[in-house]
Amino acid sequence: MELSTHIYVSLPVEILQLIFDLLPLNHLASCALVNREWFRIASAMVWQRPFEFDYIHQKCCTVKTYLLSFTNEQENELLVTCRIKLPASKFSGIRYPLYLKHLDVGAMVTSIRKWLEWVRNTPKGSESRPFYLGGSEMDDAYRAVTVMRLLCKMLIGLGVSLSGLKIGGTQDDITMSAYEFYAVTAHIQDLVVECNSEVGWHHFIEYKYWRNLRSLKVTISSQEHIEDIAKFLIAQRSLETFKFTSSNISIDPQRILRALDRQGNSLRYLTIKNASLSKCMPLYTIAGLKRLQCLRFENVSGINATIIRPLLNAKFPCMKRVWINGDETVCSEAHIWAQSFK
Amino acid sequence: MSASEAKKITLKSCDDIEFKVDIRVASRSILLKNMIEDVGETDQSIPLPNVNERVLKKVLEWCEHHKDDPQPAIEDSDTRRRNTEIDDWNKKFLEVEQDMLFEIILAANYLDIKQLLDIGCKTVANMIKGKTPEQIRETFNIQNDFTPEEEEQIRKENEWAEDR
Repeated sequence: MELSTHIYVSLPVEILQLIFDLLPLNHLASCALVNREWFRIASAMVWQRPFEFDYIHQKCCTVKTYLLSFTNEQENELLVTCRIKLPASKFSGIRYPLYLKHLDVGAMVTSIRKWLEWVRNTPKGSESRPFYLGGSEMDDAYRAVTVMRLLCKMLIGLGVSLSGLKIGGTQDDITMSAYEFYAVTAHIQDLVVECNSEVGWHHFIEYKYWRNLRSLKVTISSQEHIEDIAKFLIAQRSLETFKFTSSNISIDPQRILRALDRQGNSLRYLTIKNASLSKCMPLYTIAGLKRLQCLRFENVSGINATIIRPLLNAKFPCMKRVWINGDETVCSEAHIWAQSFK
Repeated sequence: MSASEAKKITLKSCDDIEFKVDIRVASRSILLKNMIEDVGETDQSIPLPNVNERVLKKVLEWCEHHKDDPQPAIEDSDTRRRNTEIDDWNKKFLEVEQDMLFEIILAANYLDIKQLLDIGCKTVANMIKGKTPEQIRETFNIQNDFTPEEEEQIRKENEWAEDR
């Protein structure tokens, strides 16, 4: 007799999603192997952010799985330019790239490098694993770039749902990724840029192509970047979240605050971390942001919570929470309500 | 009605059992809170067609214990993710049979009690953590409907699953 209590059936998809969302990625992968229904839900979540796994587990299987779904043409290209032979393996036909939503380009590059290393150490003629044919003068760095271009081509071609991008590293890394993703910039809503370079942004990010950003998180290391970010911000129209982190406490983001005030009126969440403000009244600078709900200044000098607090409700009708260097202010709903009728 | 007197409403489970509860307690449920605000004070009982007596009693016990908690704040999406710690009271509260746990989760979802839904999901997540696919199937009594070939193939394509 079949067991009648398939309890899991009573948990609907949206609740399984909530539960899976709490799991670290490797546990989520176990869920994908439980049965077909769990596979559908879990694998969609896993392959939304594919390279995060490799990052955590250092196994780089993502690259291999993607490459297995290559067409002959792409395979040939890989063979010719990198001298890599893919195994004649069955493929389940699941279009993993279709799930892609967020791509961490830095993690992808790391994955590819590690995978190439692993391929090089695989003995020639292996049946189930890709191996290196030898005979190419190409160095590993260049080979990595080639695989990355191939992968990007596939991911951009198939991964139509891509909406989040994280780019970072040196100037070369960022320039390259910005170039690869040029075709999809209009789809990207969520952009993270971690810039360690001394060189200004405008050399590698054409701000006018990023038109639909809803969330922008930037980490910078030099005052040089401020003006470029400001220009980038002014071109935005739908930004809801902006997080600014500097790795150098002496950077003054005043110019960025002014730009935010000028860029439409959509911003709801603003965070400034590690900086020095030259003017002590940053709230006047951003007073045009009437939809602001959360404001966070972390480790920012030149700002005084006691002066700012009484201004909050008067300036920002939607404000709910404000953190100033660890000091939290909750704006009561009553205040908000009263303000909206004044 | 005097202001000091605690205002009450009556809830009726799907098996027709009535519960008289403080509005403050019932208001942990956003569904009920909105309903009470819309309808105003009423002597009529509110029917809850999706919740039976056993589950409703348990859910109300939770609401009673948490009636003075502040409403949950809007959290940073970054901070919430993947934290499955549960405090002792809630852990003990959810030490129940599995079908009861699932019914509490469903009721919390229906009644829109975010924090209860949250700890319910965390409890299930903790039951999944660290288990092999086979152990997960055993725990939740799930039938494996993959063919052996499919399973093998998917296992290969999702190799990190072997890592724990």
